[in-house]
Amino acid sequence: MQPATPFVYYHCACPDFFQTSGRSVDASGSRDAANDSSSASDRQPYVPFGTSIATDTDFSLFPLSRLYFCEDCHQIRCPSCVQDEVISYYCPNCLFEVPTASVKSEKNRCARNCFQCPICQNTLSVVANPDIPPKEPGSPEDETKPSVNPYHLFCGVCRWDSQEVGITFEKPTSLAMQLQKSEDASPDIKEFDHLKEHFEKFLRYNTPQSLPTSFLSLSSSGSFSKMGYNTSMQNRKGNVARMDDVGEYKASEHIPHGDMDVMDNLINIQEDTTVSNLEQRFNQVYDQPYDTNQLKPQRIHLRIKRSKRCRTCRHILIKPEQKAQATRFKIKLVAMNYIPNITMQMLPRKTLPLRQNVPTQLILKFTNPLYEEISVTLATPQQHQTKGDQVDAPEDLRKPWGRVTLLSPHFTVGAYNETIEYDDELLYGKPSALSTPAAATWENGVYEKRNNYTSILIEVVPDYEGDFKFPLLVNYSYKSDEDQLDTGGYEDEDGDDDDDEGGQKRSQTLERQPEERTKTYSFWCVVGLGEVVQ
Amino acid sequence: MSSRTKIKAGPKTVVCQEADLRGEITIGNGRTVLHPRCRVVAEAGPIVFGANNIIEENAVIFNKNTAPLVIGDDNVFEVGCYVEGLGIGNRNVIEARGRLIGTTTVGNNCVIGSACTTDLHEKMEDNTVIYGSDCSRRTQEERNAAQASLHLRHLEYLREMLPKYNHLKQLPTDV
Ligand SMILES: [Zn+2]
Ligand SMILES: [Zn+2]
Ligand SMILES: [Zn+2]
Ligand SMILES: [Zn+2]
Repeated sequence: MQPATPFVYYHCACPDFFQTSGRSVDASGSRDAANDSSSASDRQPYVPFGTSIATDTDFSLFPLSRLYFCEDCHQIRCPSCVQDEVISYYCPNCLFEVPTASVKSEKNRCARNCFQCPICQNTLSVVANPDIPPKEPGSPEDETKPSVNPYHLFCGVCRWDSQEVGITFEKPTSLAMQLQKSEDASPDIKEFDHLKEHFEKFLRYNTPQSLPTSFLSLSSSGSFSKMGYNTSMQNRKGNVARMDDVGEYKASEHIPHGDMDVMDNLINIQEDTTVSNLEQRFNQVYDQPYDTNQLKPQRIHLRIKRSKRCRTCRHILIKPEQKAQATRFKIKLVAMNYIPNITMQMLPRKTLPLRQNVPTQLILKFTNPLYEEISVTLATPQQHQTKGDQVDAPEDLRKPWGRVTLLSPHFTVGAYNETIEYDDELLYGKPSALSTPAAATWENGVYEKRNNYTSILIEVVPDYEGDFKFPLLVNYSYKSDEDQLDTGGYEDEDGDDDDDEGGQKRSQTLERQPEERTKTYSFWCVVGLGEVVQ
Repeated sequence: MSSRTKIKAGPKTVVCQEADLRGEITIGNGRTVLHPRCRVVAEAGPIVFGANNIIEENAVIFNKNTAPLVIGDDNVFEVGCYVEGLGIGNRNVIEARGRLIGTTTVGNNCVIGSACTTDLHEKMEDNTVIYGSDCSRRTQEERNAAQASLHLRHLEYLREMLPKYNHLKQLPTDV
């Protein structure tokens, strides 16, 4: 076991799971600011993930970088709370966008010039044999084969050369077309075509009128599921009986059973370099040869671009530019731009690991991505606040993570603006110069408050050995001066690909109900501080 | 150390000023090119190059044995590679950050791929290629005339371009 590294995981309220199971965990729902500010500090907050935080197995805990934020639900959305939809298919090598309709006929692989090395799976390049005779003079092959094709594939990594397996090309373009013949001749392709032919009649008969011939032409999974529903309905209506009408199928291809030969060869093998490895075999699924000489270059697999929708309200959270070359996102609602980013810092002259029963002070740094100042209220399930009347919880109520004291449960974090980054560099070149905050602020438990971040002090006393982690309820509210800002999502200026994606969405925050001026949200997170030793 | 430095090089050798040569080094009568900031250190025994080698930036060739380290013709030592061993044949390529270590000997037309390492005491047969993150081995085809001429054109280009941007080291040319 590796020693645990410190982390901050954010909790997604996963409505599909937590709400259907009857547990109301709307800790992160928007409440009235008035009600909330008083209640949050008084009551013992309910921990949605239980008291023993299994960060390894809990499906609702993620690092901030993996989370999205739905502007309509005002909630964090984790990867399992979003729906993926295919936007486009493209080849990762030539960046050609493959029309959805032809993806299937091209068997999900690039139908142009892109091949992967059969030996090491890197991308092959097309190489021309120059006018000079391709082999050293005196080689008998030149004379016997005068019409040698001038182009071949070459791997720059393992130096594999398609001439080794007798593959050459007449021209350097549309290589896939030129290889098509040999591909079509392979028994598995033949057999598959034969099978398709055999079932075609039946398939056409059973397909509802509304169903397009290619399932892949559907980009929305919503309509996809409707479609699936349709088909099953149709079947139930009586087409089931026709299932049996399909005639008996006889294989058209017969491949001799060569297992004994393969075994003999393997027994007599002297060098392991001529035996293919598993990865090489799996890249050539239909015959999976043991002999590296029988490995052929394969066309490169296509990739997809996906959009992501909130599963609750079906609004789009992530939408990439369709073009394969573009790395820009039309819509990018990532949690990082909406909720405070929490990081940890050690105090000077303090080191990890934590010691059992030894109080240790640490810094939690809250960075505000919003253009408005936020005020933050923190709570842990078991707390003894400096100002509250709550005393230390009795022994038996003590949670397995030990004691955590928030020296400053209420604080504000300044607003973000673009010039901050420059100020930081110019004015405070050295970070050491600013790590001596005034003593006054220390007393409030605020270690440092600058620009758009505030660092606060917490004190932890681990009770047990092992990993130390504790839950933290973060409640933040802010006044929005921009009452009306429609969605921010779909601004669609093309071109300009290299502007800052991160900062782009920051201005367009939330706010659909103009009447409500103060917004309050909250979320849970789990802070892990690594190992505790005795 | 510098008192022991004794370099003999063919008249057509191009050695950039910043190349770091130490010990007893012989460079054959050909168009060998030593880029700036490469290091050839004949610590315990001499290093002998053949003709038409290319030694790129930050490549290190080191001889810690008393026996001479003999390097053949037409080899390329790419950026940041490290070479010791007992001897190198002709037409080999040590790719960027490749490492040839221990008492390894290298035949002809071998490739040590980027970031790959030989075994400590390996005898690389002709046409061996070491590649990939697992340092896998395979045997490549014999080098053809096209590749050979490519290497010569590479050399010609460097011999033309390097002196335009670098000061050259003046070496005694008494080979
Ligand atoms: Zn979720
Ligand atoms: Zn392609
Ligand atoms: Zn390869
Ligand atoms: Zn939503």
